[in-house]
Parts: sequence; C-alpha cells; structure tokens
Amino acid sequence: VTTPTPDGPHLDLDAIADLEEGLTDPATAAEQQAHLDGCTDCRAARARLVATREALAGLPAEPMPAGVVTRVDAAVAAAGGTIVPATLGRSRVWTRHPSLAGLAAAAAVAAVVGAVAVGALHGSGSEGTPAGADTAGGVNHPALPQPPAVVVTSGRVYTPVNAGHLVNGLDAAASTPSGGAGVRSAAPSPAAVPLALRSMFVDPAALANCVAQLTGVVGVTPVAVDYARYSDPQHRPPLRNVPALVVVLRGIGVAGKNAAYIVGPHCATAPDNNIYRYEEVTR
Amino acid sequence: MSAATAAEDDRELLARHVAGDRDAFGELVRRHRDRLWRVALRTLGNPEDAADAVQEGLLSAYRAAAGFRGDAAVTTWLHRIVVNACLDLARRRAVRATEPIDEGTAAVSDRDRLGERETATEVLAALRRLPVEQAAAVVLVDVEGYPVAEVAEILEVPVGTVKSRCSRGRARLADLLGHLQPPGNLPPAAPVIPETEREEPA
Repeated sequence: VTTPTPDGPHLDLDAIADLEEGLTDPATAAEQQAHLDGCTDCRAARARLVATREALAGLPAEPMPAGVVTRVDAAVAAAGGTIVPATLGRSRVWTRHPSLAGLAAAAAVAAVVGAVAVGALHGSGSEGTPAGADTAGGVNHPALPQPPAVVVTSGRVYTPVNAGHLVNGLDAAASTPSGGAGVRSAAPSPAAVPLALRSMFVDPAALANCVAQLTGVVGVTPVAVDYARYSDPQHRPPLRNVPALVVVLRGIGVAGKNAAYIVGPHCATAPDNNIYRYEEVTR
Repeated sequence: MSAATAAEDDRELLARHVAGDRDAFGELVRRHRDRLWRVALRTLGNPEDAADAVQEGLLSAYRAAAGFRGDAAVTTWLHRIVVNACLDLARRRAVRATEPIDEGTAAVSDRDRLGERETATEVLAALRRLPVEQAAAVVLVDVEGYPVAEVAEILEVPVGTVKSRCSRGRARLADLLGHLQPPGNLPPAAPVIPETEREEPA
C-alpha cells in the first residue's frame, strides 16, 4: 500500500492481486475494497490485472511439435516401452537400434558420402547452391538461417539397421574440422539431391521450416544434413528408397548428446507422416 | 469420456505398465503429452528446454511408476514430475529471460493492431521474466485452468503458497503487460469473490 491521498492510500498491483486472491485479512480487505470502489486509478490498476488474466487464459492450446513427439517417443522406447504413433496405427512400433560408435562410424560414412562441405559454404548463387549458403557474393544475409556446418549429398539409403551407424558418422564428420576421418571437403553435389528434396537444398527458408517443425523453435541451425534416401519395410506405409533428409541437431539427445531425424520432403507442412525416424548419436 | 473414467483408465494404464505391458506407458504419454508440453513450454519459455524437461520427466515417470501410491490422480502425478523437471532445469540453467519487454510504450494505434499472436508472444515473454516457481503456478492456474488445490498437489506446496505465487506473478505480469489493457475499459466495481466460492474449471 503506497501513496496516501486525501481519499485514502492507493493500492499497488501486489495489494490488488492479493485482494483478488483472498489473501488479505478481512478488515484490511474491507478498507481496500471501499477504496477500490471509489478510486478510478486503482480500478484501472485492477483492470490491468483482469486483462492479464484474460491474456493468460487466452493463450493458444498448441500441441507438442511433431519433432518433440518423435524424440520423446524414441526416449520412452529406448527405456523399454513402446509408443504407437496415432497417425501410424497400432502396428507401428518405434525402436532404437544399436549403433556403432566413434571413428568406425565416421570412417564408414566417409566411404559412402558423395560429397561433403565443411565449414562455411561458398555457393555460386545458382540453383545448386545449398540451403543457407551465401547467395550474395560471400556474405551471409543476416535474415537467412545459418547453413549447417556440414552438408552431405550422399544419396545413401538409410535404413533402421544402418541409421545409427551412419548418423554417428555424419555427426563425427561435423565435429571434425577436416570433415571427419577420411571425409573429403568438397562442394555438395546438386545432382545427387533427390528432386523432392531440392527445395530444401536451394532454399534456406524451406530447410529452416522443416527444422522448426522438428525442434519447435525457429532459428536452430543443424549440425549437419544429408540429402539421402530411406527404406523401412516395417513403416506404415512401407518406405522403399524414398527421398529423405537426415538432420543432425545439437544437444537434443539424452545427456545433451546430438541426435538426428530422418524426415521426408514434406516435414515442414505434414510432419506427422514425414518424420520417419529419430536416432541418437551414441559416440 | 468423463474425468472420472479417464482417471480410472489412467490408473489402469499405469498398472499395466508396472505389470510389464510395453504399450501402456506410451498410451499414457499420448493422452497427456500436449498438456505437459504446454505447461513446460510456458513455464520455461523455451522449446528446447521444454522438450528436455518433458523427456526427462516422462522418463522419470516411466522408471518410478512402481512407486506411484495412488493418492493423487495419475495426471497430477505426471504433472508433478514434469514440473519438477522444469524447476530443476531452470535452476540448473540459473538464468531466466533477460530480453527487454516493451513496457507500456506501445501507442494506442499500435495496441489496436496487436493481434492474438503478438499478444501471446508478449505474454510468453513476460512469463519468462517471472521466477520459475511463480511462472509454474501462474501457468497451471491461469493458463491451464487447474484448481488451486490440484496445483498445490502438483507443486507439493500449501494452497496458500500457490495463491501467493499466483498473486505475485499476476502483479508482475500486469506491470509488464499493462499496455495490453484497452484504455477506457474499466471493469465496474465489484465485490471480491473468495477463492472458495469460485467455480472450478471443468
């Protein structure tokens, strides 16, 4: 209670909030209520409290982002339970597969990647410029998302069996300045990018929208991406060599490790049926 | 499905999980994840932290299910675990939002143009400026509409503490969001309704 006036002391927001919540002793509450009834300033303050509660109650009821659903489901599955995604029917079971770790995986991915770009990408501004790369003479536009540290256009077919192995290798390539054990630094090859993924390859915003669906937040830069394919006969519907983007994200796995999503071309607009797999980096 | 039936089903699912049914816990997660997500996101104000907290909380619940004593609803228990994960994470981070909020500087014409999304963004930004314990109480009571008594169970504090945290939090938010109040739209003087006489949300 502050600022005595001829009409009695005005009430501050704390006092009014306490009064509204029934936290004020009865005698004081009666005095304050009498003041409120006759004080325009204090009623204005109370109106701000009312507006605040209305704004809180009116926050939109947004569902858990599809990428977070996939991640949480995978974590529960890894703990021994199973999750049956609502959109995929009862027969679909998410599981993790053992992954080979470390350098062996890095070496393996080195053998299969078609091309890797490490560090700053220097695109030509042509249609083949990877998403996020400079399109204005070597200076990144501040409004555009930053490009992933590593862009791979392997064209490799990921599967539930090899995904852990390959994702570990991709992550290793991203964390090694030279591109990982034996991984060459070179420009990614637009020709190796499946047509359905081309928009994400050339348009930073398209890739950013996909990543935003996975993370639930705008502006996250992937550690690495691989424009590839995916096969999973157990998936409903079964997937056979479909275009797939592998997105490695920093620190989203258990104990702050990196993890990857394997997603379809429409992950930004239809994430429920375009997130094929979540795979934690184990190395 | 009535609230009582849903609560019974939740208990059944948890019992099946403890008994070894590999699908049961996943079904429980599916039922409640959106609400748990919203509570975590609004309490922490950061999707990445919220995802961490929900995942950590649900894994804790998965492992601790055998210890569920049944003296609270399963959903209350799940919320308690996830909110505790939020509080732990926030304390570990030890940093709440520091970005400035436009405190009352918007022109009237600007206020008129504020859309629902902009308002939501401002409210979420303001929530991040509260101490995390206040944010959790305000989110559970004012955003999600849980009765104060249930929030006291979730937060494992007395009812009076929940009310006090809500009161402090609302006052701070009203201070931060004062420009959202349309001018000249004062509510009439009205008697204060004691909490015990308020209608609980369905």
